[in-house]
Amino acid sequence: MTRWTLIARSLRFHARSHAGTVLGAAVAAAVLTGALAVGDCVRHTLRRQALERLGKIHAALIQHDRYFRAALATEMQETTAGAPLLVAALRLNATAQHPESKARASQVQLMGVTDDFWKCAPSGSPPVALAAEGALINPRLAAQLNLKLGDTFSMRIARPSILPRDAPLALAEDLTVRLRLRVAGILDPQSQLADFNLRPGATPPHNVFVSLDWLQKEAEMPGRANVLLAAAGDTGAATSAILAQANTSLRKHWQLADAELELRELPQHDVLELRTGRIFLDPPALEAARGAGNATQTVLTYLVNEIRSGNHTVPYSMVTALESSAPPLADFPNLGTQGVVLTQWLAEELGARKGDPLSLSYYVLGMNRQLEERNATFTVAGVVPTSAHGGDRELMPDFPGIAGVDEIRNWEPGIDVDLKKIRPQDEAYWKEHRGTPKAFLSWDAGKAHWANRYGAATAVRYELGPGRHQEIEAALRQRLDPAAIGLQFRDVRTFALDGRSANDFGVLFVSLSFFLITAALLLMGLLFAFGTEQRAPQWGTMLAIGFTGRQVGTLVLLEGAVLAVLGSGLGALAGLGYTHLLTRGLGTIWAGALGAGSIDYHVLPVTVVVGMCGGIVMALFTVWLTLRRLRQAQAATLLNAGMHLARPQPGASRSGALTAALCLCGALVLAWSMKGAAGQAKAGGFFGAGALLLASGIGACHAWLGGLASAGGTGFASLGAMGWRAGARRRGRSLACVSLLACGVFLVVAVGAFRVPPEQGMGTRTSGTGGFAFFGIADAAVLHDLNTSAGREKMAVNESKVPAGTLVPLRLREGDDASCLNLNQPREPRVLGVQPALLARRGAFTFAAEEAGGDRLHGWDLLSRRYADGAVPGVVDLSTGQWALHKRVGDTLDYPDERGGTFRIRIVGMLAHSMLQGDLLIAEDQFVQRFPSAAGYRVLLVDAAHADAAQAARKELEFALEDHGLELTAATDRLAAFSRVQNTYLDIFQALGGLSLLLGSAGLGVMVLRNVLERRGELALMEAVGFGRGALHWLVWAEHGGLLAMGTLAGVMSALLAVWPALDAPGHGMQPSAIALTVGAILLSGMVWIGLATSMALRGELLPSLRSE
Amino acid sequence: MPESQPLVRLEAVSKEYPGHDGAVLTVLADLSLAIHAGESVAVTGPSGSGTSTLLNLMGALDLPTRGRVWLQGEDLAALDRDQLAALRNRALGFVFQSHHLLPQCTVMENVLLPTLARGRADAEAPSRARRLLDRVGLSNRMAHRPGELSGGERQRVAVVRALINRPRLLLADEPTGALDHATAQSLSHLLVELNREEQVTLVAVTHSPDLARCMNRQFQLCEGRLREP
Repeated sequence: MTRWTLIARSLRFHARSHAGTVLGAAVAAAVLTGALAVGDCVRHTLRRQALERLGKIHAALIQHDRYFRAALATEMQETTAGAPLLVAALRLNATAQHPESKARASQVQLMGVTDDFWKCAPSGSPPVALAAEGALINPRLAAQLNLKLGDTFSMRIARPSILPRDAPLALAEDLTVRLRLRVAGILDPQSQLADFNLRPGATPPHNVFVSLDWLQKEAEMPGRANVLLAAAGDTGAATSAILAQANTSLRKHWQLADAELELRELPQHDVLELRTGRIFLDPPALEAARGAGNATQTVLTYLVNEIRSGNHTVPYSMVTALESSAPPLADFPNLGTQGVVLTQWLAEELGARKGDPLSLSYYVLGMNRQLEERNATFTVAGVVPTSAHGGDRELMPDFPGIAGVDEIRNWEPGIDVDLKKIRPQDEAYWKEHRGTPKAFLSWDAGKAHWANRYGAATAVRYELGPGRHQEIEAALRQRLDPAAIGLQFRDVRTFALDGRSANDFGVLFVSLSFFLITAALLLMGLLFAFGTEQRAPQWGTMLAIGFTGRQVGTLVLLEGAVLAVLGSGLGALAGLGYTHLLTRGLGTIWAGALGAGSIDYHVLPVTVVVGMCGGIVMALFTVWLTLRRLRQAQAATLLNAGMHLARPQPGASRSGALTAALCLCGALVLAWSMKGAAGQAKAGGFFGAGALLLASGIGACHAWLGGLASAGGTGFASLGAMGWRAGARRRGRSLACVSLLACGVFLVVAVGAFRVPPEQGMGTRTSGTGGFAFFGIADAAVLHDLNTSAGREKMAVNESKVPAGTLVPLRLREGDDASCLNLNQPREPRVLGVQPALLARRGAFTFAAEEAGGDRLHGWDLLSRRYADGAVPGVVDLSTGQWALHKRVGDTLDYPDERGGTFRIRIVGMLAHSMLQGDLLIAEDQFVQRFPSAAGYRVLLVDAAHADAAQAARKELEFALEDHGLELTAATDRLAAFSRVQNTYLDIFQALGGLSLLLGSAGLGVMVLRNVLERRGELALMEAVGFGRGALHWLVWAEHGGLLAMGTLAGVMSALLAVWPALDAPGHGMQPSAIALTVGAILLSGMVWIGLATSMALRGELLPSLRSE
Repeated sequence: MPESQPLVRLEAVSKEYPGHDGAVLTVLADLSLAIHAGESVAVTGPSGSGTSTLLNLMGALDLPTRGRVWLQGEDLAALDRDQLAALRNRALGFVFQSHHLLPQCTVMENVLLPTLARGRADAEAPSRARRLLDRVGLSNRMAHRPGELSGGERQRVAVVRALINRPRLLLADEPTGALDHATAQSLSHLLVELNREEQVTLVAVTHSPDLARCMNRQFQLCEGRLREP
């Protein structure tokens, strides 16, 4: 006889009563395993999607609005074993349209690729040879446009430009290119990189792959690319190795042309000049260039609108700012920032002499190509010959629309030029000298007036000499870190293959299933406790014969442990089925929870083990809890009456009443104080008041049962009253039942208060739409301000339909979708540049949280703050901040800027449930500093006074901006899509909560059965003295039905208080019928279980029980 | 412990329970008793008179409200729960009105149950169990379960279980209360014989005059006090 023999004997002998315990543990473990396994499914799905979108690609160099030589990939390609495969591509935003059906797809990713690109695909070979106009498309686009092999379709792309579109003098016409394509194949997502995407997204992009050469030609970007991919070669090297090799190779092979720089020799001027197609040298490039050689000249040439001296003017002239040490300024050492040197031609035209004042008028760059004319006055310091060193026409950069034009009247610059001002002598000058500067300033003066976000120099010059070209080029390559201009590979694989979601779905579903797990454990604990109580005399005997309480407790615990292991093992296996149900639910009725995604069924063995272990721990804890009383019980008590003959405790009744009173007062005070509150604060306050009322209700039940237990009298008013008194005998058991029901009903009903009603407050400024009618996003940036007449005129937008003030334009920097529609963990959320005043003036949106100093309605002003540490203020939607970025107000995140560095964004405010979810908003002036190449506006918020005006504006904008690929979504629809996700999670919680209540009501049935079986003798006595079976049924019904009613009533009343604000709001998302149905189902289920248990317990003859008593 | 010292000594023992509305219910009042090794003592009294309470106090299952209980020279109030359990296992045997056998275990296993509490194997226990079972006429029932035994047999198994650890004191609480007359008489004789054969002190609470008459000493518990008839 050993301890284990005893345990084995007990398990076998009490197998029937243990079955319930095992079942309870199994349900808890199944739910836990299933919930954790949902995390596996999500991770696996994201990993699969990552593999499908990346193929063999490990690292990528992505240029935003910058372009390098496509040949760089070939030059970098090492032939050594294990070297990564390097592939260049040109990626452009586009809109696709079926020519006949007019079906349209915006935000299409158009990829110009070489045959090498397909080596990155799992299949490793090109699907077909791509001829001109031939396009390979992915199934998503094929479905969207209903395209088949051989079909033709059109695309419109934003014409790429090396010169940023917002740069001074940059062209703003002819921004898009129309392409006609024929479907050469529809790619397979699994093997052919059909869903290629370097960013994780909610859904695969619409993809079109064309020949790189052809696209370069059509986009007028010959030999250029903006994406460089590093893929694993045949050896399948690790990502870190591939990344290191790619970056090393890049540093070794990159050329100045890859940074859009050109070092050219100008032998006629005996100089070597560094310039850029971007007109203005990037600050890192300028800094490197100025240090790359001795006796450098930094040049800044600018177009001035007018040069005036007295009454004489000369229009549209180039003026160059140079360092004072350089000719022709070397002769004017005291030029300073106020002096100007004129060419002979200009001095004669103006009649100006040394010492005369001279004014220059010129444009400075505003935020969105708005040019502001300014004047500056200088003093003539001297005159130099026009054909001397000042006769250097190469000082003028290749301004588009100006350089290479024969006559001024044919200029087509990106700014308005009044050609009427052009005089014959100006044309003559242009014909003879072209862009030769007519005046010179010091570089310091030039910088002070003309430096902008793109740079402060248009060229840097060096002395020319033998070997100087190579020497300077080498020095430049050495001094300029390619990463500083965005030429850097980044790991795109490791994070993606982690399958990391924005939130751990395993943990999320464990939270959602918490109540179900608790209900299962309560049921298990109840059944185990009943079994233990039934065997109380055994434990008493063992204590009497010398076992210690600890020994007895350990024996029972071990017995419970075996049940826990068995139940949890079975439950973990059953959890696989539960996972199937959950994934199926997430694919169908709960599809809204995943936004636009879906998940695969995939469970890791370790999760089953973890689920099982978790189940064991929970079950053991439950067993341990039920054993606490056993450990303290006296042998004599156990031997004589079991553990349950507690004496009445009058004090308990008083404490219950006190708790009830205090909680009731708290609930009323809290609810009253929430009268003036609004939104989530009000919902939260009332939820708290409801919770207090719930505690009050449970306290009242406690007090009532306590009062009944200690009450004495001369008789019972009715049989029902006698039943209620019986319920008070096992007060702990009865109170547990009431509490379980009350809490369950409260949670299931009250959580509906957080449901986001689809139409709540739509259209109001403080709502999630901000009062806007549409949210628009364009493939090609809108470069003009459509709120101005000039801007509307340029874009051919009808002013009567889109009046001034209709639009709030936002700049966009591509990034990860950080909304709840995307399951992936975002790393670089999309950034929007907003003019805070436009939103502040409207009082648009409501801030759920903001940094000190802001307020709920005018938090936008916080975006204009400046911080000593240089952090940029940012605003996000509360959901994005909390769930996707895991940030709070005051937190910071580092974000890569356009030039390869990073800057810090400090969250200063969070919007309450808004349609701007998923984006990070910063002030536009900060945006353009960090992303100067991201020209124009790609996001438009459309405002309108009423619905008809909104529709008119929508039609007009869609027509006028069709070439820009503008896609307008109703603000309400966009917000509803986000709401749907939140509401679906509430649906899941309520469904699982309802399930747990059904389980809880089964527990009530078990309790009935147990109570009646324990009192069978007592009931037999009542039968013996003349009570009929009907009366006995009613007695049991009154007792347990009373508990059911008390629990449900306490839960419903407190829940109603909690959801009061939601019920009070028009168009609320609460569904009274659903609530009534849930409560009705709980009551019905409870009654069914009580009925079943009563019938079972009272089945057969009762009188023999009396004899055995 | 010197033989001259009593095995059990109760010194001015009182036991009270809280009653309704703050009243105190006194079950034992200032009771003193000394029982020496080898004695057999019968305690009789009406139901509710405190006989079982008295037995529980002697058996270290309960502690008095006032007064002291000494067992083998040890003051029970000075012992913690584990020490009390060890004392019960080592020095005491219990027989209750109900046999309280474990239904899942065989007769042999039930008998050996007290040895399990010691936590270490007692090599002699099985042979002693067999001898005792043989002594009470159950040698052919060792592999049976309690459900397969008659009431008298179950009670005899309970007696053997009480003796398996060679206790100094055997406490029997209404051991024949649930048995018919013949079986009760048989069990009474068995207890007295075992008292002699096993040199175990026997204290029995009983309503049975037959059993009481078999004992060396007889007491009647009335209104919380012991009286010799």
